[in-house]
Amino acid sequence: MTEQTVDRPFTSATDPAQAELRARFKGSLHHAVLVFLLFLTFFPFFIAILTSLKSFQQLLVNFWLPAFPLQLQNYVMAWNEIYRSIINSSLVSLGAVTGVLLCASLAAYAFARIDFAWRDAAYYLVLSLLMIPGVLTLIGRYLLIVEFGLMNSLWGLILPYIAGGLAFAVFLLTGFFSDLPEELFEAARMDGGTELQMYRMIALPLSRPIMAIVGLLTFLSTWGDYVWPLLVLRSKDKFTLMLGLAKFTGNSQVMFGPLMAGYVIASIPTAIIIILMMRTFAGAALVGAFK
Amino acid sequence: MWKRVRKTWPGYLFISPAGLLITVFSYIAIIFSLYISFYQYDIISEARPFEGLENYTRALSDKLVRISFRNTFIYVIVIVPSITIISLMLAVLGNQVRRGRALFRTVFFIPTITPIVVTSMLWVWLYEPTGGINKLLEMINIEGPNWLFNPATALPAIMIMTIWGAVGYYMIIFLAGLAEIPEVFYEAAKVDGAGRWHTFWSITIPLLRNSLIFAFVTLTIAAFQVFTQVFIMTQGGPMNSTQTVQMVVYHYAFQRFEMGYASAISWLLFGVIFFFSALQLKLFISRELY
Repeated sequence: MTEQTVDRPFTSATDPAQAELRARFKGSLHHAVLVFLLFLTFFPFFIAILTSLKSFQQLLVNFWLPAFPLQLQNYVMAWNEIYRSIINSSLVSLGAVTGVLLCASLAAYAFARIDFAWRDAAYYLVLSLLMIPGVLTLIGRYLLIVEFGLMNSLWGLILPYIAGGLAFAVFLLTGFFSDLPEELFEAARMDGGTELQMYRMIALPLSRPIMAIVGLLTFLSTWGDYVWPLLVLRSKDKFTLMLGLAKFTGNSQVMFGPLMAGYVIASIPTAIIIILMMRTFAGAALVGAFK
Repeated sequence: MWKRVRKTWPGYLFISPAGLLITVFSYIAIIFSLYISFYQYDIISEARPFEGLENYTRALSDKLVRISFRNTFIYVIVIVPSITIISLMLAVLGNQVRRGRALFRTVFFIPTITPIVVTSMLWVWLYEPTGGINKLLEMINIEGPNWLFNPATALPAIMIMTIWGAVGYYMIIFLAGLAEIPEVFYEAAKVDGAGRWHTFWSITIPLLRNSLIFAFVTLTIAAFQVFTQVFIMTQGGPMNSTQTVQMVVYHYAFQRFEMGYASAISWLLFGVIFFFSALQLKLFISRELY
């Protein structure tokens, strides 16, 4: 910060009343800009929610305002169409989150706290995957899934998802485990505790917040993924929610109400997550960037 | 050596599940795709002749590939600076909000966290000739185009949707970065009589450097691989005006089953991404800002 010399004469208003007025004007201008941007951001969702409660006739008559009676049966229709795919998506995301958390925390514990031969080399092999864009693994993974007979199976999604999420999870968790003070482990080691016990009794309980972040990121990326289900799943009873929604859209050209209801339902899990975890998530973004 | 292995064997046990999955689904997958990029490889036929660099030279003269690279470059050049600037602006504005901070952040974050499939399908509906966007434009007396069916507006329409969907995430990154800047710097600047604009350029920007690098590099890598929104909104049309590299890879690999050729195209894309990320990192890191 060497450049902080005065290279500008005093420009601030000398009259305090005038300065106050100017500050207020600036403040309200800021607010106006923000409110406008908030409107632009929320507008698509606003329209979707409104439309999800209208029949086609109500939509034709009135695009912008809510219409009564509210068409709650749109939601029933949408639910019947996609509930099966919601179950599939939940299974896939649950499997991927569990797999990533388990494999990554074990590996990260070893990288951070066990001094084995070739440890650093192995760690860098994992880390270097952070630099590899998805486009390189797409075709190879697809051919492997075909080879393993996992086509049209939910495992064909879960396994690549776990592999894809591991690099970042290992990276975050290794950082966290290495920062834990050695004294925590010293006592357990004296009592003859095994590495597995120390992992389970000491490292895991302490890492709950960061595990929540890793789980959350994995959930978001797998819940919303479209490419893998598109490639791997063939029969309708296996479809994930994103695939089911796309199919639903294709089937119903004029049923905007149920369609929008479907979009709203599909957004609920992620919406709940932001409301509950906004603060944690800001932390996650930060950790992801700089840890 | 053996003594050490005997004492530290749990280490290998602990990394084995992750190691196995990564080896198979990342390293073997990558090597496999490099291998088949030198072959004429499809799933169906058994004959898979070696072709050397044939797939690569074919890609360089393939008109569809050239169009897709051009579109992708345009997309990257527009998207990356726009998202960075808009989200930075939102963060700086949002930082000054006193009441309703949580609401402000949450609303801007909703598009980011909503699955891209949902936002894409929602915007397809909004972009209809008499859809929400054009109705909104009508209010200020602008006659909106048929967004997704006009070659001139289809790619911009996808870019607008993507910018809308991404700024919230980077706003959070920048807000986190802003929170780390000590208040003293601003107070010092105020005492020195520095104006707002000057303060922004000589304090905020240099001290947000890490966040800016992160935003630029991750955005560039993601933007080069754009796929889902294009696949849902336009399928590459009209008249290939939204054809992106990843779309073309998908087309050759999974619609025409020319896996070897598609792999070659994806390695070309990787080369481009690698070149640009390395360039960005070099530019950013070599320049001492403070």
